[in-house]
Parts: sequence; C-alpha cells; structure tokens
Amino acid sequence: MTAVRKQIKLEEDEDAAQLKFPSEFKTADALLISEVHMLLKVRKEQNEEMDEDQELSAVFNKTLEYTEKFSFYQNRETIKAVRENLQSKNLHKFEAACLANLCPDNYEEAKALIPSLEEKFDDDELNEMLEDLKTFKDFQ
Amino acid sequence: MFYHMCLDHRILLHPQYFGPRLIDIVKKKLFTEVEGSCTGEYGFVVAVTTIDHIGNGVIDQGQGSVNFPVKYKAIVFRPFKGEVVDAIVREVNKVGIFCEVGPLTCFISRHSIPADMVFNPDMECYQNQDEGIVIQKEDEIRLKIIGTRVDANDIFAVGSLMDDFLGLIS
Repeated sequence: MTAVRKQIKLEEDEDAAQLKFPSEFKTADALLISEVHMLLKVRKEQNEEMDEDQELSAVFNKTLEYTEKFSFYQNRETIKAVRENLQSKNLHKFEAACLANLCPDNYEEAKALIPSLEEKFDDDELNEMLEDLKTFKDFQ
Repeated sequence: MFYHMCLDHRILLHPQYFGPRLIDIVKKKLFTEVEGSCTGEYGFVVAVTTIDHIGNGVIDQGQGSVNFPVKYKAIVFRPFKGEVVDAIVREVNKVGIFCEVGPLTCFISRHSIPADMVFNPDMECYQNQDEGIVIQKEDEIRLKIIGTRVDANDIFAVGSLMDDFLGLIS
C-alpha cells in the first residue's frame, strides 16, 4: 500500500516545466540529440564489423532514425563548442539540452517552450544565447 | 530527454556457461537483456556505452546458477511531463494523431489539437483552411508531453499542441 502511494506521489512531483524531476535524473547528464546520434552511429558501425551479427533492438533503430532527423549539429567540434557555450551559462542540464535540441528562434519562443528560463534570464540575455546557438548551427 | 546514466543489472547465468569465456558471456548477456528494455523509473534503455564493473558471482542455493551484479552506463530516453519535444507523425485519424519520439509512442487527442485544425478524412490529415497548414503522416511536429502511462515493458505518452509555438515544424 505504501509502495503504491509513493509511486503516485512521484508521478505528481514530476514536471519538466518547473524542473521537477525524479531524484535519479536530478544530477544525470542530459544528452543532446546530436550527441546521441554520434554515439549510436558508432555503435551501429561496431555492430556491423562484428562477425556474429547481433540484432539491434527496435528501440535502438527507432532512436537512430529519430536522432538522424532531428540532429542539428553535424560534427564533433560543433557539438563540443555548443556544450562549452551552454555550460558557461547558469543553466540546468535539462534546460541546456532542451535549448540545443529545440533551437528556438527568439526569446519568446524559448520561454514558451522552456518556462523555467523565464525567471533566470532577461530577454536580451536569452536572445544572445540563441544567436550563439544559431551561429554554431549555420557555420559548421 | 536523453540521458547518460549509471545503472545496475543482475545477470543470472546457467552453469553450462562456466568456462574460460565466462566474462564475455556475462557481457553479451547484459547487452541482449538490457538494450531495448524499458522501465517506468529510467525509461527506455537505448544502448549500453560502457561496462564499469562486474562483481563477484553468487551461487543460487539449490539452483546452481550464478548471479553477477553488473554496473554499466547506458543512453536512456525518459519522457517527462511538461517537456517539449519534436516528433514524427505515424498515423492520423479522427480521434487524433499518433506520433513517435524515438522509441516512445505519443498520442495527441483531437481535443488537444487547436480547434481551427480540422480533420480531413479524404487526405487523412489535420488542416487549417485559413493558413493552409497541413499535418499528415511522416510530418515533423513539436508537442508538449502532458502525461505518461507506464506499462510492464513500455511507456506511452499523451501530448498536446494547444500552446504557442507548437505544431508543424516548418
């Protein structure tokens, strides 16, 4: 009975808009879609090189297709630069990954998609951050 | 959101595998057992990246099998309520839109699609007459996750397009 109640409480406490996560995810490293794409591509190549071919799971293949479609940054250097840029700001790991993954056009869009940004940054700061991201995306 | 996380798993090994390749078999079994699995706590385990530690095996009393505790790192995908994500449309019908966010299936009910978007049964799409916006199969859309349901071996999400900056990605 207590276990059931605890489960329900966990669900209620979870809200990405207010940066409320289950305890395991509070400190875990959020990955950019582009990073996941890189890692999965390497894994697939390794798999193909092996003699005894092990089938990759449906979850793996679906994720690879998804990351291929939505990966904005194409090479290691760009991803590294984006990461360093975002890490230097006062961003939660979740917010940083969201910003890089969604690439909002302006501060209004960023605040609508990631509401927790509203209290932390003013409009100009956000715009500057988004400009930086766009520059990385365009010149790679 | 995708995460890189440390996870634990127990590998149960039958005595027939005890031999010089024991550790290889434990590793291989870890890959096949955890990749593609899904729990409500951690979400989908997409791929194991490193195996950090394989502990000493403990023999099951009366069985002869051995339990190996394994610590590993993996890429996981965990959806959160309130998160905004991009998705690929897989099916459109009169009750709503079914789409996929990587391994996750997400349903957007008719009632969570803006009222000016109308279902067109001939083309199997939702369209907005005034602005000429069409959402159909294989399109890319941006949605907000408003709830998740955890099954034994799957997570299912419900999404919404009823907010600014959500909908078709141009």
